[in-house]
Amino acid sequence: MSLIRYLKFFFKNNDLKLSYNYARKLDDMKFGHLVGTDSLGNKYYENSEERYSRHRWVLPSAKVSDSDATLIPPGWHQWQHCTTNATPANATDNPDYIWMPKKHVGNLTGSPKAYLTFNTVAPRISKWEPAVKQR
Amino acid sequence: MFRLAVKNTLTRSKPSAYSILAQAQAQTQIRYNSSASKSVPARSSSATSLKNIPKTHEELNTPSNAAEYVFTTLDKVYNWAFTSSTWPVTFGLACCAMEMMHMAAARYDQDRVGIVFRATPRQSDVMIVAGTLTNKMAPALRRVYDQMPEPRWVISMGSCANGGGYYHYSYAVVRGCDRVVPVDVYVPGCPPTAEALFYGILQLQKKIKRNRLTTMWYRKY
Repeated sequence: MSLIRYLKFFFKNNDLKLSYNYARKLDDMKFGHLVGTDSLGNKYYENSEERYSRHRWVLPSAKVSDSDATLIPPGWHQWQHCTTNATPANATDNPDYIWMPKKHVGNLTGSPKAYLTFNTVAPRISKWEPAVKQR
Repeated sequence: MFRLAVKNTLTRSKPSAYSILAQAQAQTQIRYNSSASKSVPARSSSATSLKNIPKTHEELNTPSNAAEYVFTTLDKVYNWAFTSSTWPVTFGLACCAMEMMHMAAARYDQDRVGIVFRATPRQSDVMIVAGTLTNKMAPALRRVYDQMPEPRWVISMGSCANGGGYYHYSYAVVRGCDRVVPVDVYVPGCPPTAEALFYGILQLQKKIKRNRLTTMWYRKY
């Protein structure tokens, strides 16, 4: 990030709120056109004149403290990492399986909905239940 | 004394955490006894129990009086200080250490989230166990962990540190470093990418932010 590039994009944006969001959430200044928005409100941008690997980016809708890389749906992740050029709206080969969640959720670790492992095998040892014998 | 005075003045209208705990303990006691002899009648479930304690972090962090406001704010400051300077002790044991170094290098640049590797455990907050933990290394790992000052965290990096991994059936390898030290974050992979380790560190930061040291001292939950 050079200062010249930073200022150039800042003035090209001509949008104080957007520039503030870039500076706050990406620690960088970006300029490009909006490609799409996903179900969680993340906005995806592209600027093909930028250097490869910097030319696609996401502006997360979550706050900086709540932001998480897993909040990006898989289709958009593919697009962002140039696995495909088609956005999920345009893609014809979107995977659709019965086990897939209807709505994308991020990592639930640390929340009450976090996945906990459980055992389906009958225990081989019995629990000690301390009890005083009636006299 | 101060705490009692604050409690008396500010939480007069609400049932205090002490009474909730006492009732919960009484209920547990009754359940405990009733399994032994059926003569003790079970108390009605209308009494306030531990079930009323909120579960999500947001609800737990919502202050309900002035004292709680002070304590939650103190917690936030404390957590912020630790979140923005988690210094790891370098415990590179195998190839995972290469990825750990990548995280420190220019591309992923861990310095920007306040992570600086320390060479001594006495100045570090978090230990990244990167690689296969052998039986011979285990006492050294435990000693390094014991030398770290509280509060301390451990990140287990890679399959070998998580559960033995490829060397699970070897007679010379510990089947997971959680047999030796308590682990906060497990980073899967063989080896995990530098990005994965960075994500693990961000998860650890979120965990640190969930600390409620003074609030728990005040509320007892």
